[in-house]
Amino acid sequence: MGAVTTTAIYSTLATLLVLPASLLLGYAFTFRPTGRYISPLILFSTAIPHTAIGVLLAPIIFSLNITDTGLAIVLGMFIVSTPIGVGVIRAAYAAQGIELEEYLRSMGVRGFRLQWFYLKASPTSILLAALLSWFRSFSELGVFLIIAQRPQTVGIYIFEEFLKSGPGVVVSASLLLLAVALSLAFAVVVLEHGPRDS
Amino acid sequence: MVLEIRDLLVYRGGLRLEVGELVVRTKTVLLGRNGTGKSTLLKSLTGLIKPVRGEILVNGRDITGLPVEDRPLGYIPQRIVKLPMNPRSQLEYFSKLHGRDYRPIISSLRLERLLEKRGLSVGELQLLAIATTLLKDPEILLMDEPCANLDWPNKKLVLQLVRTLEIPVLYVTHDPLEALFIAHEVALLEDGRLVGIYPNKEKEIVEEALKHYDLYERLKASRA
Repeated sequence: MGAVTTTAIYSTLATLLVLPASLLLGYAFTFRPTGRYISPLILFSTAIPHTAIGVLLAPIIFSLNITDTGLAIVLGMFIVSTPIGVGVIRAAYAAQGIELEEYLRSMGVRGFRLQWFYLKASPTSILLAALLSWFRSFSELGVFLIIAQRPQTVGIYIFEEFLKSGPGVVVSASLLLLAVALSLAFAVVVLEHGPRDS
Repeated sequence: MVLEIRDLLVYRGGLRLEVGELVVRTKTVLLGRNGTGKSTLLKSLTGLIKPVRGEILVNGRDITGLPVEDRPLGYIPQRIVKLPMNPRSQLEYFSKLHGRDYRPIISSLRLERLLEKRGLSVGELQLLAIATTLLKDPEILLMDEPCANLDWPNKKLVLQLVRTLEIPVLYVTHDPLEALFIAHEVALLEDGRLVGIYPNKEKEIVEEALKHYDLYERLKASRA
């Protein structure tokens, strides 16, 4: 239970970081030409094994001397879940279209106020981005195997118990997690089919 | 009030758009087929696309180098703009931004019914967008196919409203009927070049012809 609580807390912290980053990057990647060129740098983590991300992150974690700390866990979660947050926000902003920004600019609206209109138009997508980022953070294992096996997260707990005692002990924990995940996935489906962004 | 475009050259994608001279004093319709550069011209005027050369003047003042936000132009894009706020909040927001009262505009356009309404139709959204744009007190209004996605009753509402506006309007369309209904003069654009500017001498004929378009009303009347 301790591992579940730890993971939930760090997932929440990571999501609180992912969300503003996703809103800014999602906007830039959708509407700014330069954003399109740098988007692969953010999205790369969906294309390589997460143990490899852990290996690539390791020098930074070692140099900061934060191996096996909550900070390392949050950083790892942030790296793996940002692409999901950005992806959802990008889709939401693309649905609103560049015409909204063009109209607002012609009306004298500038800078971050433009973003505010897109935010206000996409509440369901923002909630969805937060939820999916939280899931992704909660379920991470590969990165933590390399940079932070302590404090113990759910993925590390199941992995270690499996190595130590075989599948028997962790089956019930895995089934419990499956039940929680399915409930939350159901919430996502309801959100996706619920009230539309304006 | 007058908009003058001189020796304008714009590249966008594979399109080369050239406008030697176009002066907009009243309601000018920019007529052209798909892909001839109509929207590109409007976006160049708003500053959303930078021209390679040329001058854009409003009342003799060169605005070519001004940022989009500072140009004294109103712009209605082709896609219906739906802001994430109710009609009254939208008008209040832009009233505050531009230091103007929205009530006289709403009253002169007879749009009071929209203020408390929820779930506006696309036609009503377009009317609201026009009213909102007028809060900026633009010297010229640029409209990019504002009726493109509207059914006939909504289209008629918007067209009639455009006719009542008291500022010069540069109205883009590919629809000759819309052009003849609104225009004092029609500027014809073909393959990125302004072919000519023609006075509209067929306004009355079109008004008569458009009565036949009121099929919704005519059918209801015949049933009664």
